[in-house]
Amino acid sequence: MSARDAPRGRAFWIGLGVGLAVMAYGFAGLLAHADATRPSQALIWLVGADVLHDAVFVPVVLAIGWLVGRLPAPLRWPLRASLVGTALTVAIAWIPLRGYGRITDNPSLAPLDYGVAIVSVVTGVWCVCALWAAFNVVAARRSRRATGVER
Amino acid sequence: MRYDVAGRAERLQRRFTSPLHEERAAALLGLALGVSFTVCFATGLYSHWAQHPPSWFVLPARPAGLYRVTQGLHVATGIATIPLLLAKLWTVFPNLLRWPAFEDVAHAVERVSLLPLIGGSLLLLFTGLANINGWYPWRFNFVVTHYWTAWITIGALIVHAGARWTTTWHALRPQVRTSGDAATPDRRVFLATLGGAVALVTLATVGETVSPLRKLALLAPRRPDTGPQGFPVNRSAIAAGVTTSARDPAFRLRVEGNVRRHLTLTLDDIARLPRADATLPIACVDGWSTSQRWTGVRVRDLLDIAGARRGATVLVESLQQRRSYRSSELNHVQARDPDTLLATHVNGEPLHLDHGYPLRLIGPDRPGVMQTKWVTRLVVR
Repeated sequence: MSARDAPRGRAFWIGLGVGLAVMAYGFAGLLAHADATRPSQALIWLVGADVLHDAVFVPVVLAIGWLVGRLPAPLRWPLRASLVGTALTVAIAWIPLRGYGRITDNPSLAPLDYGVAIVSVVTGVWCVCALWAAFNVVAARRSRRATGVER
Repeated sequence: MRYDVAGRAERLQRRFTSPLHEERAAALLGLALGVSFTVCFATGLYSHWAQHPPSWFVLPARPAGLYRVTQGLHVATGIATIPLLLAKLWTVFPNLLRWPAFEDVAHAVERVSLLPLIGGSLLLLFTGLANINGWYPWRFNFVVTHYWTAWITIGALIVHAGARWTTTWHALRPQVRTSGDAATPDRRVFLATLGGAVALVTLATVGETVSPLRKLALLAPRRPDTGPQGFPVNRSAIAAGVTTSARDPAFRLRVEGNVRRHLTLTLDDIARLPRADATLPIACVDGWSTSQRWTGVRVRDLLDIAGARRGATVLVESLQQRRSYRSSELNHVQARDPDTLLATHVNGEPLHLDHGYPLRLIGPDRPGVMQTKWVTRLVVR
């Protein structure tokens, strides 16, 4: 850890004072409205989100990232971008795709065919990234050829 | 043999070789998240005050589309924050493996505040995304918990910003950027990819409120041009339990409370009153909005006929018997605004039952849940 990384100085103490006061207000509100917030439930979700991210989501991303790192350099970023775009598209549209919030008497909620929507968006993402990869491959070949000529 | 925790942690941390796990990427993302969380918090606070006004706050009536902008921004910024937050967490993930975990009490406090910061951020984004889709897979009340968690998270963000203030600005200084920084090309591609991801989720959803982009809103839970009479519904007449009472020939609008004379009006009586038109948005707390041309009677005309004092506030009550949004308050500014109507028609047609037939409130700069439908009583205060 670099020296300047340690929390010190005026900004730290002001941030700590103000931030802890605001947090205390938030916790007090959460507890004061316990009937609605069910603090134990809220806490389980709050800590659970942390644990789920660190223990499940990150290892999966690291494993995929490690695999992508084995590929030739010109393909890596286009593939990373495609995977990010795909994951986000599915994450955003997962709830309407599964119909979790759908109500039969209100067809204006989640009105689209989200399977088709996901496929359309993901196809667009992969097409753009394929062009990007093709550009990278051509650029890498040219660069190798140019280096060869110089030799 | 003694287990060498520090050595193991250090070796594990060294395995994260990507130059993107460095301070500059973290600082840039931190700055972007600081802006996005501030926007979400400020617009969320405005929405909260609009619905539960503190004594010092009077919800303005102008500009008429203000709530449409603030709440559209709240939801769009929240969605754009999803890739930003995940990228930031990935960038700083190796810090989780630091050993010793903290150096002194101040450092410990700063690191402990990461738990509510990260947990709160993930909770806010997940519950927000689920809410705009009408899905509630938890046992707490969404509105109240989202609101108080936002205070906790913004407090933790202030602690974090203070602790990282020097590091962040140091990492963003131009000389750091140019002094043989090996990470620059990779970082640029990383940030460009992230920018593309933010643009993707925004373009695929923001059309639910920015209607010229509605055809692109493939991942949004609403389309501003889809629903009865060509726009969405939040709660249907069936869900509100008003299908019979709203169509009952015995329907009456009553104007009561602090007035010189109580009014009881049939729909024919209402049809004979002076008519007014207003083009106003329905701007839902869920982030979708749509502008329509409404026709009906001005609330201020009804107040004048009933002899209400100027400066009166009005409680607008629905036929709906249950749930918290069965009534809403018009403050003295909104009650007297010429565009605040009890609408009977939209775009020249009688209101659809799901849009509040026979009478619905429509006024400028109001959250959709406060544009009360199936109105049957005005209580003047």
